Amino acid sequence: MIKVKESSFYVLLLLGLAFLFWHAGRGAADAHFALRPDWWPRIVISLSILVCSVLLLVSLRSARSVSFSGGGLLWIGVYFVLLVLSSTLQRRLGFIATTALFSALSLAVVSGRFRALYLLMGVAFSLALALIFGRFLAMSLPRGLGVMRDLSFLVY
Amino acid sequence: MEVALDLALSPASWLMIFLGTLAGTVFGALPGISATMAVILVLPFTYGMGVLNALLVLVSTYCSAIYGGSITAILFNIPGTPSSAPTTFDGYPMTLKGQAGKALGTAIICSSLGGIFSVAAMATISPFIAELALRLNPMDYAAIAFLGLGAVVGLGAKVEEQLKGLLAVLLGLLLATVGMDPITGGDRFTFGSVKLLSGINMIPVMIGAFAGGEILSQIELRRGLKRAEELVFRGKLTAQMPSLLELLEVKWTIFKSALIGLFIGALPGAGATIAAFVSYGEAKRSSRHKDKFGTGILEGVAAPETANNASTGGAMIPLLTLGIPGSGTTAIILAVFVMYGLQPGPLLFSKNPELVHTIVWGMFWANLLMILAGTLVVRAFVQVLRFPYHVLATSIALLCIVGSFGVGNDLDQILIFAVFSLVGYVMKKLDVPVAAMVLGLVLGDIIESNFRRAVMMYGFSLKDAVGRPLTLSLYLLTVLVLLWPYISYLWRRARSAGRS
Repeated sequence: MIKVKESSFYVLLLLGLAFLFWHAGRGAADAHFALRPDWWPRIVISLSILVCSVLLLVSLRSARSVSFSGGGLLWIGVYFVLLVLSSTLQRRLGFIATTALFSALSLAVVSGRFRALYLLMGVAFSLALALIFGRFLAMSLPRGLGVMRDLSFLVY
Repeated sequence: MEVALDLALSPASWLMIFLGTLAGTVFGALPGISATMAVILVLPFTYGMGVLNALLVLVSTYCSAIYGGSITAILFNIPGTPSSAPTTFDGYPMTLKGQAGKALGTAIICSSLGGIFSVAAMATISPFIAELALRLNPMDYAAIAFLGLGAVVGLGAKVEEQLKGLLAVLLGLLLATVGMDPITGGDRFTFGSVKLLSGINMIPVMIGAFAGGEILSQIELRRGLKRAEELVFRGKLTAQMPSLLELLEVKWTIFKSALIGLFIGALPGAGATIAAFVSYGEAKRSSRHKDKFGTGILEGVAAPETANNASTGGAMIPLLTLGIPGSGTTAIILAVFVMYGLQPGPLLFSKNPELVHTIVWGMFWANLLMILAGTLVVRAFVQVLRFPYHVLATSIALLCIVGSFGVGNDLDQILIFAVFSLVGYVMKKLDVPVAAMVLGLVLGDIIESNFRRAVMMYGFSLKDAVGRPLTLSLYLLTVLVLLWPYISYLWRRARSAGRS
């Protein structure tokens, strides 16, 4: 079990908000307050900093921690990378190949074990979605490049 | 109205309503999938449809998902949706007494009655509110949106919960500022990216924050449906409708619960869950059989199930008349309107009256079809619970990816979904309400553009802009809503001190 102090999240958030407050004012034209594009964001950021500071003080007083399961955190990181890859790989490999790969790996990550059956299930999920969304609902699914693009026309 | 009825009765519309009702009941019955998530999961299927069919599917899903949560609540003591939690108090004891069928039948009938009542109220009240809304000025709109956000924040029982709600709302408002300034056209927080000029699309944010965050939480905990798998109901199971006499015995409970659901549903930020709990509490308080609540009585199922479905029509009232969503689910429906180039609000009633009336008829038929869906296939729905969680989670993730991509056919939206899945997961760990952030994002643009426009209209005088009686009243109401937990606490203390 990994324990992270709740206050550390608020500190990170405060740093981010401070950066955004500074960034909001860059290049803003000198005009009446309601006409300045940074007026409203700066109000929101200021209030956010105030509320975040209060929550930081509360969490410091209570010394609360947030628990993460060590193994679970790793799998969450893996799953996040899978989601990001599902976006980037679709440009090259197209919808079917990427979805099949994603599905197989997702089944493995969520169940905690890998089985050869998941590859078949991945292909089945992928084809089913391609037929439903690409052919039946006429959505423009990514086709990929080169031979992947040509193969996609067989399905949708 | 006749045109709308024709549209709502066309074969295509019937099919959409039926599919939406079926999908909503199935998803609603699955523990861990809320009504909001059910609508999110159905959303990608609607991209290829016209606006009318898309809205029919989504509102049908919404109505039936709220009911669907009662199935597992009654059979396994596991609420399928948060709004079905009070149904477990008496529904599961009825199952233990061998009255599962009657409990399910009562849930179906009361959900349907609650839903139909709220649709009728929505159809009656909305035109008047829309007419009134035409007289509102930009500052009034901003004030109403603030009231909505204030209600979300004010829901927190403790100070820290309220502060977390406020932080979530502010983060949502901040997200809404990304892109082009609505007044001057200058870019904000785009960091040189052309794609961010159009802002952050709310749909992948909602999909990520609600559904993606839930998947990541379940991956960490490896819980969810594993329990439900082991509890598959054995033997025959059918819903048995309560007799007319039994329904007449609880008629006032049904009526009061419908009113509670309608009113609470109409409050921006409040929704079916609060309606169900309040209605159960009120039914118990005012019942002649108070001591029997919790032992498995019809009244204990009728109250929450009527209220949670009655909240659906209530939540649609501010959405259709003011363009302000009454719940997280209606925020998604608002996003669909915007996606099709429509702006809900008072002008929708004058420019697209057939759309509004078709939605009304669609919700009416969906609430009726729920009886058919629930009665005929309740046993089949229970079997869906046999699916292992990793298959379900992967299916949900895939629908989320397609749903995010489908918004503008842009692969970068999947990245937004991924990022906000992580954000949603962290927010859950810190007990910061995700729905508050989403409502802040949805209402951010409305608040900012109306607020700034009003200030400019009143010669840049903040005092004049806020000082109008209606505007001032709305802001004072917002402050009252925010302070209500403290006021009621002090009131209770004063009363108990007075008694002692």
